[in-house]
Amino acid sequence: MEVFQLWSHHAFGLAALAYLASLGLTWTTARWPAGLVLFLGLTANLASLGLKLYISWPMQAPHQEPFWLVACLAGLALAYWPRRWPALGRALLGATALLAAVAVFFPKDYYLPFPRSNTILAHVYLVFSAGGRATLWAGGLAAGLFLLGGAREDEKAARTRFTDLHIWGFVLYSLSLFTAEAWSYLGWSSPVIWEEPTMTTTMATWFFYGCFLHLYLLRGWDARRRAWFALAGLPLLFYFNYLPETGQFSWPGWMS
Amino acid sequence: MKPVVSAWNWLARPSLTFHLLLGLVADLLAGYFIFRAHLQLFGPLNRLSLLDWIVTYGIHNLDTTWWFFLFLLLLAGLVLNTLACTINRLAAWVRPGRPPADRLGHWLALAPHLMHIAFIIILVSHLVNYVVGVNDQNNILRQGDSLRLPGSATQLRLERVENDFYAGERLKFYQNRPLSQRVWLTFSQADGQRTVKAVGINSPIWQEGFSIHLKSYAPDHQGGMKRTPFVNLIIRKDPGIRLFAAGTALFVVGLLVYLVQVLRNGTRKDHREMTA
Repeated sequence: MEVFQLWSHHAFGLAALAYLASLGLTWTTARWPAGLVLFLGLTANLASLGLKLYISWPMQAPHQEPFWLVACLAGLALAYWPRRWPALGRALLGATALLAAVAVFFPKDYYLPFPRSNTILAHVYLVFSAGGRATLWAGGLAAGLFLLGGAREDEKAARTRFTDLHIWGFVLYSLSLFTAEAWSYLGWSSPVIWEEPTMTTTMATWFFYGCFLHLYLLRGWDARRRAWFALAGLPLLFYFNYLPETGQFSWPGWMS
Repeated sequence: MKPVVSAWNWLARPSLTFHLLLGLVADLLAGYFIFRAHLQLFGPLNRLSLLDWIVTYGIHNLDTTWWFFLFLLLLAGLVLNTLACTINRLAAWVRPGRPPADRLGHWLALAPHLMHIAFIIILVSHLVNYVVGVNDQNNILRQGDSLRLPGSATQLRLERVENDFYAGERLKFYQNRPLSQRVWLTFSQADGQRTVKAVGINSPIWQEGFSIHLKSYAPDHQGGMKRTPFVNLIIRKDPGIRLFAAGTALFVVGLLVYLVQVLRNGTRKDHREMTA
């Protein structure tokens, strides 16, 4: 099994390198090389996740979200690069490369799977949570591009897109919370367990994006102001949602 | 009557929603740092009712629990605000007038209201569970021992423990440990009726309105020292749990209808308003 574990780390390291290379390639004239390398990176990332699942299924090891989040972000980057909105594709690639690097150098996935994770709810929760957070990241980046004027060619479409991404993100994130509550009730006897401080930041994030979805009802909150609000969600996602899932600095096995 | 109407309209204002939601965000973020530094103060919320926690921990440590009380206050405000806003908007929705040109769109516009009602139901169900629920932790039974369900004549007895031990090679760290288990319990009611049920990890059982959850048990591995079979059970009565499930289901329906509305209205008026 150690071999699979090692290969899973190698595959993720490879994915992180590919994301970085792909980001660099987005500045070349031809657009397909970046897309191809991004695709290869995503394949390596998914292979790494598959190996991790293979060595723990039907259970799940804690602190896997950074690896799933990066895969979801890369998937979104691939969806936007190079045709639909190249600037957002590049921004998403930047976020993917950054978060992948943090996941490589600050891992916290060394804990063994625990018996209460032996339920499909644990896996569904992880997918919804990573998908929701990745979509909210995309919404925040799209809002930033809208503010920068990076979408000048189609301002209205950009405005619609950053709102729609937040709506999708909020829906997925809400589904992840409900799945977690169902799991928590079956496994720990209550939908809410006061053990992990990150429970408060999860709720704060939900209320923040709930607030974003209500802004259009307020006078004076035009698209630009709403975009600033959406942008403020990125530090929240990074500091309060992503960083608690990471550990202390350590050289990856293949570098030490 | 006029002051009541203006107070009601003030309560239903979207700007109040905005301030309450941002207040909750700020409060919970502050709470994160405090909770992280004082885990021992908030952990007992898992085994005490809200009122018991307030009188034993909360009120005596206000310097570290203030954010929790503020959280409850803001949530209460948000519930009232959501209720007033939803009633106003639903009243406008049902107001007789010309039949809407877009009938489906008219119905889809209910999505946010469904979510708002569900949100209130979920919070009320939590309150009911925390205030009037029974939360009896650490009920330890050795094989053959019995205990009485709280406030009931029904006896619960541990019959035996069955494990499905992992026998493969793939999960090396889990060898000699069970992937699933059945802890058999017999319930003997006052009228002599007996029921046998099996509880497991992630697999609680229900009896007379109580839910019984497996906290820990033995033997939970093969080999090593022989241990007397025992079980540690959590016995709960959560009167709000059905309400919670109903609220969650309603919220999910609201979310899905909302998505349909968003996808359908990509070029329509109300979506244009939202993205204007």
